[in-house]
Amino acid sequence: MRSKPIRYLFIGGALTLIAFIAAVFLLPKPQGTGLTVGEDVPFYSMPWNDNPFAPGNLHTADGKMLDAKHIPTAEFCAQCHDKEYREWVSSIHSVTGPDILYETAISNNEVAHKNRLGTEKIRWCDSCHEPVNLLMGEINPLAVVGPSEATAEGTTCIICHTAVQADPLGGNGGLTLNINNLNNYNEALIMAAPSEHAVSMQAKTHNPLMGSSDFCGACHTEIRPVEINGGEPMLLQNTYKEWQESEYAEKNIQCQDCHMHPDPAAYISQLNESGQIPERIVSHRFVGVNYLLTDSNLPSNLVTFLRGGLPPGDISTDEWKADLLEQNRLIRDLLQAAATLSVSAPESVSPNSEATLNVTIANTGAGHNLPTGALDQRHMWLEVKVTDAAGKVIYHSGAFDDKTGKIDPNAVIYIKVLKDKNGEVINEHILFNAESYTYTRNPIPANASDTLPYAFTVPADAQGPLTVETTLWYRLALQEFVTYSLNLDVIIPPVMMERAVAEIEIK
Amino acid sequence: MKKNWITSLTGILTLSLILASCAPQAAPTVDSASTDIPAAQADLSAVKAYAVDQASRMQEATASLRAGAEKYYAAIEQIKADHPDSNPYEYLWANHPEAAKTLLDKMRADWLEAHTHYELNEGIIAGVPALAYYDGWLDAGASASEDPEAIQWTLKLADGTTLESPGNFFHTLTEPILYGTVEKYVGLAVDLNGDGSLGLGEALPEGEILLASAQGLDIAAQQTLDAVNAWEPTLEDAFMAMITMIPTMNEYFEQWKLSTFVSGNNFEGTGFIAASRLLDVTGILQGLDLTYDNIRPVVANADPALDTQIDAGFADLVKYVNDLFDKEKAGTVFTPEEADAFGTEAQDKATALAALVAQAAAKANIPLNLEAEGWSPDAPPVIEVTVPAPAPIE
Repeated sequence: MRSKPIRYLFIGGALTLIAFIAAVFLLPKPQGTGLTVGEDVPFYSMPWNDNPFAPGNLHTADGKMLDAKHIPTAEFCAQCHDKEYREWVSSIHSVTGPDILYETAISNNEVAHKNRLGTEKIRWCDSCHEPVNLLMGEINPLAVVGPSEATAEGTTCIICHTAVQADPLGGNGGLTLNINNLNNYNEALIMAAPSEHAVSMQAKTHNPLMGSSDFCGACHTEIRPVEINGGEPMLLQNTYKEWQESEYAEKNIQCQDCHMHPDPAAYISQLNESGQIPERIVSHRFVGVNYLLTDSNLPSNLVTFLRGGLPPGDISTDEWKADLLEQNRLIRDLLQAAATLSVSAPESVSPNSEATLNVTIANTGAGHNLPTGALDQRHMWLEVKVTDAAGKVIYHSGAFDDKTGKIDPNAVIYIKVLKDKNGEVINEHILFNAESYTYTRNPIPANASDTLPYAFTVPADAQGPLTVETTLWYRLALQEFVTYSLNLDVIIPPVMMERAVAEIEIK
Repeated sequence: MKKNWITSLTGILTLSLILASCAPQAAPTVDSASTDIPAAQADLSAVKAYAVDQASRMQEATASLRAGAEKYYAAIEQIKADHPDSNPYEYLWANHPEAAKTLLDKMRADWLEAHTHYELNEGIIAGVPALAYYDGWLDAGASASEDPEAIQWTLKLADGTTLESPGNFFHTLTEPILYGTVEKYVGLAVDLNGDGSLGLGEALPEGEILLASAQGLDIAAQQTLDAVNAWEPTLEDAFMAMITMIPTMNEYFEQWKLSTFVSGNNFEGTGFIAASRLLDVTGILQGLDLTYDNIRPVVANADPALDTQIDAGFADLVKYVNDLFDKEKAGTVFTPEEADAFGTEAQDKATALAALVAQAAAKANIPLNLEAEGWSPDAPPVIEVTVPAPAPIE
């Protein structure tokens, strides 16, 4: 008699298991959750064509808008993928939208085109920076969609993990996301059928695109569309093409190999020393160059302000700040691994004579130009300082004033100078108004170098030997942007990429 | 036998629960916009009556403020005539401190009265394209030095000074003038509260700018009242006002956070000292809530459930900000961190509510023109001061 209940329990359990498996594999897949402009998202402005995401290049597989209720936030994903979440949350990808520098730049551009579809034009920027906000219809003159937790997560998990197609040469967020046909991300189902979950989340084992540079190129190619300011499309960022034309592409070294390596500087070192392509190890830190938004040692909790607030998810502030510092270290190491400097100087010089020397910057660690990216803000420059044995400075080019944040105007600097229709220089990233640009010096392609001649007169009283100190500096943004757009009384510190020293005797 | 039955039932229930959790989630069913909505009754006359009432009461207060400013100016001019070698403000404060303080207190009270009635109306005035110009001129517009596309208008002072596009009347002119937060608008810093020190807001205003600004404010208030009287509200106006004004919470909370009403601020602004920005938020919502109450039949006709949701959304948001404002009025001083958190929560509630209202407009087939350009005068207004005769202060 006592065994009967147990038998029934077993039968009930077995039936449950069978039904569970049937539910996973046999029941019809969920219907698409995409929303239709007009019907579901009313009063949505589409001034150019029937693509709701224009003038950006982001697409959904079904052409519909996103119902943010149906996507998991990073916080949700973190329940099982804590390691990946912890890596991502201190990365720049987690703040591509909330980042105050970006928010400010967006506001600058929107205001510059007020009453000229300024809000709709922001969709171009948000294709990469705030994809969830864009897809759900938040970028609209009227507020017609409700809030979503995922909008504060920048490039959140689900954006990359639903990409099925990429347009790396078209850029501007050129991804197609199968985001409106997610398999149910109910915890029980994921646990029951993890491989199904991996397929629907485009794991790289199922979707080679995830491990390909083509995927990254979708956002690391920026071409201003004609809808923004008329004229011709304006190529503004070309990192993918720079890689495509490099030896790295020939060797099949993808962006992910380096930038998703747990320690990119170590990867470069291993690659350069052995000549062999190191094993691919994946981290979601996406180490790049943004040393500012990862510096939790900045005073007055500035990093939290700059990142647009505390991170999403279940992480303590102390843990987060420690993770940020580790990210910052990796970034600085990567910057220092990207270039080498060498000085070619005479062995000796005479007083009252003109001395010449050559400084060579070699791009020995980046699989793209050096520098690359948004070069109207990011810049690299060379400082050359010659002192005599008494410590007297007899030549100095490229000095940085840490009180004003200004760089010697005669420095050799690698930056893109944007100008508006009146020929005025644009310092505050108002890309909407750019009419033309010039490079003060062309960026250095992968495995190439740039040699810069310097000359100075040796004073009659100079005491030998002379010390030639050359330093390659990198800086994330122009001081004008921080001072005038962010209204911050903060000097953006540069990062030293490389230093080389030579001595010259005086005869 | 009973145990067996319970065990089976438990198994079936477990099975049902698991199946339920496994079932594909239904796609969101947001119905498409209805195409054949029968005419429904919206009492827009009540919305207009509210707007006219608030605009009238605002104008009554601005007229009183204007009278006070003229009295103050006349007193300063009288002192200048009688005591040409004296600083008229020092003379006024030295010889008529009580009269000067009483007059200043009255002008500040009038300002608060006018401003409060404006805020109660702002949701409608700023949100209706035909009236929005007056929001910029009275309350929200920047000066030409802050925004190259600022509203163009001219203020001519009695001494011949001309100010081009100096900003809005409430917050860039009259409030800093009456509360002494802009140095050039100060006639004399004085110990108004008698505590032996010169604190924030303790100053006699400079007479020329006070007179011109108070007269200008009254003229603008009268023109606003005329415009509201002439306004023929439409359902499109009502929906547009709600959809554009409900989601403006963040901006107000941000200004509140930086104002003297929130603790720990080293106040560097010039406006938002007399009244908390929470007044603006509650005022805007009051006008919009009333607007919604009067168009509910239209929404209920198109989608009763949506109407209930919107009504509940309004109730929730209004209660949220009213509770905050009540606590502040009762003496709670919030921290900037709290202000941030409250602002974020209010914004989320507001964005959700605005989206529902947009859905309602679509379902009720209300056409909204996203690119609608608001009314503005053919020529930029020029306000020339009317100079009162000198007269002693009473």
